[in-house]
Amino acid sequence: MGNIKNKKIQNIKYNKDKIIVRTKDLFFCYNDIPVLEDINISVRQNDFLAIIGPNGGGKTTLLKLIVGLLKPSEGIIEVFGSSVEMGRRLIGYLPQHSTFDLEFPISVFDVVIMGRYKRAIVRYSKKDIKETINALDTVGILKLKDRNIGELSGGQLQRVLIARALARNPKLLLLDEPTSNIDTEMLQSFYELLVKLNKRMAIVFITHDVGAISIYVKNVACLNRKLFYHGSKEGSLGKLAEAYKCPVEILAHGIPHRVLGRHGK
Amino acid sequence: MEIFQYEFIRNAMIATILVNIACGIVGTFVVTKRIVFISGGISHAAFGGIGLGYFLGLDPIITAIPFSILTAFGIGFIAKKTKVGEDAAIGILWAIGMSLGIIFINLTPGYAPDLFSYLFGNILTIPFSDLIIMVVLDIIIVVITILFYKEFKAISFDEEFSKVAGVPVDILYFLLLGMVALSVVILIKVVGIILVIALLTIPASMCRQFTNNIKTLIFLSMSVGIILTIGGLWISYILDLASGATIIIVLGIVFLLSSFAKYLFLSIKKYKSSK
Repeated sequence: MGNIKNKKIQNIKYNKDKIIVRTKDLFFCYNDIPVLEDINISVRQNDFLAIIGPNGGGKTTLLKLIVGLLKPSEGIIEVFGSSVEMGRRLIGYLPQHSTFDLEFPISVFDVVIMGRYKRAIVRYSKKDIKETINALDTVGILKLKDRNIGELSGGQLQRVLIARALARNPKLLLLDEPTSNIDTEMLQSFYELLVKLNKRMAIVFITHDVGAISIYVKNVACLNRKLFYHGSKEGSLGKLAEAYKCPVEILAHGIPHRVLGRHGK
Repeated sequence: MEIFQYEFIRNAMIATILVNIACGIVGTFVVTKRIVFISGGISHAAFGGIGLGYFLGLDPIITAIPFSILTAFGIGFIAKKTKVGEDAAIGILWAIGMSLGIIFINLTPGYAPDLFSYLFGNILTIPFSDLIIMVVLDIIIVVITILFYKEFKAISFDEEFSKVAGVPVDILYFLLLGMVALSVVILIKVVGIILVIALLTIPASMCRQFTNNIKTLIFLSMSVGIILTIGGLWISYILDLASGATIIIVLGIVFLLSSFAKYLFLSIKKYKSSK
């Protein structure tokens, strides 16, 4: 792969088999403790990839590396054939924990339009406003657009943040545990939304909800410091136990997997 | 209105407006981005710049400008790029800045006139030349804010996401700290180094309870700041008290009252809706 140039990434045509993210021999250490080792993974334009693995297995770290919030200790990450800094313009990102202050005086609309950010000084255009409205509509919270973010429920806030990730019309959506704040009744419609979005963008998401994997996703990656498996979901079952390093009850019938052994039974 | 015939009163009124333009803008970002203590550190470290002015025989306000900007960048650099931690960086540079100020004043022959006015402020002794400096610094702050309003709002709200979206987060963070440094310089003559932080934070903290829009917050803080500064000045004139401290006390009392009013309002609303 060699050196990655900061080449412009405009006018990328949709090609479902095109590799849009590629990591090569990727290592990440935190204070000399390896978090990720030798990760070689590629994401294609029509992927719907679930990343699973135990807590502390490096899932969030991998996403943060792809969007450039962390720098690799070793190895290369190529995003849309360019560097992370250029390529991430086509990524919509939903962090696991938001760092902002819920008391911040800002409306839902103003949060979501930040996803449209392009460059300094110029103001948001009419198109930015239109796309923001579209994104709010897509996740079904258009009527909340003038609310202050402090007045929302956890589930509504999560949808605001998904809208913010969608606002830039990404070619890749990276979601870090998107379902953690979504109640069970909403889950199905949330996954259906993802399936719909997957027609025009790749989706990579971190989840503990193995039940959902069986129904909606195309591919699975098991991550526990190393990449234990990356491929179609059908082949993943045996590898899961290896990644989790403990007996896992995993089924393709909507029963959640167990990470810990049973207690006192 | 006969008091307006005095030049020092007119200057004080102009200074009040200039100070609150800076405070309304910078204070809003200081409060919402939660860099109040960084700002406190910058303002105290600016004392080193005041001392340098005495030592070099220059107007201390002029030497305070580069000194506080450098301190601001120093705190920002240590906080962002090293593992020292923001609060430790603030503590360290705060103390170093003040110590340098004391040493410079020690090294200056004779005694230091007006030293107290830099520490505690005296809005009634602001010369016309300082007003010019304040106007220039205000213009710089206003222009930077108009250019980068969208970015300042983004990094104040969510720095991590802003970075992913492509906002040059670090540059803007340093620019913001630079604006804090400039507003500290503007404020020194009015309330003094020790009380700068109050005028930067109280109006914005008070007004954020009543709006969910940053732009409104800026203008609201400016207006409230101007009214309360004039109120404080008037009370200090009547009661013959130190102007800087009286202004802060007035701000503080109104802040407490407004918080209480907001609390009462919310409680009544809750009570009504529960019935």
